[in-house]
Amino acid sequence: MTLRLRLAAGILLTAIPLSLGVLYVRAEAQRRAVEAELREYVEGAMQAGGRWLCELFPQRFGGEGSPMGAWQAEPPPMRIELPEGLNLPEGFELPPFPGADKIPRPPDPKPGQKVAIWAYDPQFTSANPKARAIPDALRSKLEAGERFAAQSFEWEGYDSIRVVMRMDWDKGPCAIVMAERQVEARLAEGASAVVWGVAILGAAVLGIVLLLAGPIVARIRSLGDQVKTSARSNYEMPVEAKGSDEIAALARDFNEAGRLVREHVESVEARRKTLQDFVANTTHDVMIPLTVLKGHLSGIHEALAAGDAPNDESVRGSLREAQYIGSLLHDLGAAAKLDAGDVALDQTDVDLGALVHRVAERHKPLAHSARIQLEFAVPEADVSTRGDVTLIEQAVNNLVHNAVRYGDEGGHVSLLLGETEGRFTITVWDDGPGVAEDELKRLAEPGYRASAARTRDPQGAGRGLAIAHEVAQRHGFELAFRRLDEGGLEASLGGPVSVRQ
Amino acid sequence: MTHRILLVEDDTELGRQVKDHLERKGYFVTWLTHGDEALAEDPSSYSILVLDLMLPGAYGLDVLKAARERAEVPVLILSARNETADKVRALKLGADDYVTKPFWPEELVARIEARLRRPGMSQRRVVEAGPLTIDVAARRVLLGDDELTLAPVEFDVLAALAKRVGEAVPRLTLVEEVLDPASADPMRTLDVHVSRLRKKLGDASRQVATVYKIGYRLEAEAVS
Repeated sequence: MTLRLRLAAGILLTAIPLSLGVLYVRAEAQRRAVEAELREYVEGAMQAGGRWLCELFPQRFGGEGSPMGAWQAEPPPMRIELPEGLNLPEGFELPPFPGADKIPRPPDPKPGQKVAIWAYDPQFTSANPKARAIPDALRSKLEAGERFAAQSFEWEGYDSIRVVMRMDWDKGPCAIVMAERQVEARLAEGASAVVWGVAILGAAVLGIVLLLAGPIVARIRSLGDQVKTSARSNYEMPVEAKGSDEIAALARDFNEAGRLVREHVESVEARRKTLQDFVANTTHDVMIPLTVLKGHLSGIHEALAAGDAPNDESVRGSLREAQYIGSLLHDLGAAAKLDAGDVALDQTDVDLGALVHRVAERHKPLAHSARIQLEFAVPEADVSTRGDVTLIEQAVNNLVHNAVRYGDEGGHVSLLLGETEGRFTITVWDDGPGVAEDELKRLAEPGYRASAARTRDPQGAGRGLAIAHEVAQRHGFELAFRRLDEGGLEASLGGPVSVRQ
Repeated sequence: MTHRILLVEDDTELGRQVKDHLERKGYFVTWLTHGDEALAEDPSSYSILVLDLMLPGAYGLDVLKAARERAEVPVLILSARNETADKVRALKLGADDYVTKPFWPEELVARIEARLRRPGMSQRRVVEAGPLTIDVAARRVLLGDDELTLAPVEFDVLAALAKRVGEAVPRLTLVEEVLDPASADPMRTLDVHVSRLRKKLGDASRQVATVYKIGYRLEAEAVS
């Protein structure tokens, strides 16, 4: 259903009950008016001489007529008729009926309609044999003590009103008077006027509404076209959002939704790119240590085939490269995750004791083959922090990996987890060659881009530490490096512990 | 006592390697390659479950869940995935620890041992460390069969180390447990006590090893 059709239907649906309501109210008002009119008439007529006339000639009082009214149909006598057998002397006339011409005429009906009036004694019996009997409904009301009662009824196919009333005098043949009148024509005429009025008003309102709806419909159509265009441009092109009404708000909402869609698409695209780069870089980076590893292994194989003991350096080299490959893959995974932004961080409670234990155990074989003593200690009580366990573990892993990989033979690497005043500290010490002062500054520089982590740096600490920095920054941890007086490096990662439950 | 280990790993190379390594360490290993087989096992008849996540048949996390419903046995997850969500899910489902692939066999053994050792670790009252026997409750130290006489604070230091025999104990921990941390230069005081303790231990002095930057460790095995 179009907007216009809906508006038209709405107006019709409102107009019909409205006109019915108006008709009812009007009919009711009219009925009351006719009742009052009849009542007033009866009271006036009876007081103005009707009573006198009625009591004098009760058997002839009343009647019905049209169009001039009951009096005309059977006009009241203008003179008194003597009872049978009684004669007046010759030449003598009774005076004229006093005030007969002053008795008001009944309210005028329309041509062709009738009025009627009848009188009754207190027992509801009329002396006039032509009089209609008082209907039971009205009669019982008067019997119940009311002085006035009215009803609607049908009279020769007309809607009509009938009133019955007790007069001020309670005796005689005219103690109760009933008056009737046909009124249907007036009611129907009023109704048709109302119907016409409502129809004309409705048509006018409909016309105005349709006229006003025109621009609205046009704007909605235009908005629809713009939305289609915008969708074709991947929501790059915004729709016009002028004005302050609901349609403008809708246009603005659409632009906002388009922006969100675009952002989402961009973020998905960025992640896809990250993944693509990740795969490409991983393939490239893993090939190098794998090639070295294969070289070592074929050397060992050759030595064994020749019946010689394998070269110790080849075995240690193999272990080193294998460890490096694993570490590299984890670094690349962490880099991809860091590149993907904050949404990728999984915040949970991280058991730092278990984490330190895992990292230390992971490096023991490599340390052992490099003849480096790797030690670690964790407190007996659990120490936890909030963060991404994979990333934090990788950060600590890289600190330890660097210390072991670049440590001297016979050297030491120690890893300690401590907790003081609501903060944890993971410290890694080594007594290796350490770093130059300017390089230390470089290590301490935060804001490494994670992509720098993909550069293989055979000399140094750049790759893994860049990840450690990024992880610390994302978690709000502190990563600090310090040259030890006796040589070697101290790296420490600190942050808040999570509240124990 | 020989611990029974249930190993569930579908990769035959890795599975055999891990099984061989654990058996060389003296464990009794049952190795399954299918998730559904693992579901059919009674977990309570093992000391520890070592479980891969990516399995044919029932998924590793389902095996973990089923095991948790049936027994209190510790579960160690082997995961090729380096994804935090997986680990967290496994830990939430009741896994005790995880080892991320690639791992060294030694690394896995260390994790298993740590897990098996955990209960009752601090309940031990009589600790053997090479030639030394330390009875913490009775405050007695035997070197071979000879009882040594130690000053109370020296015994406290030794007992604190004995509670974590084989593990490095940070100096700060020792200071907090044994000395008055508020005293002047308690670290120096601790070093003095350790030095005196070593003197009294005589031949066994090397059982108390200095751990670089961390503190001290009471070696469990005899140090020559």
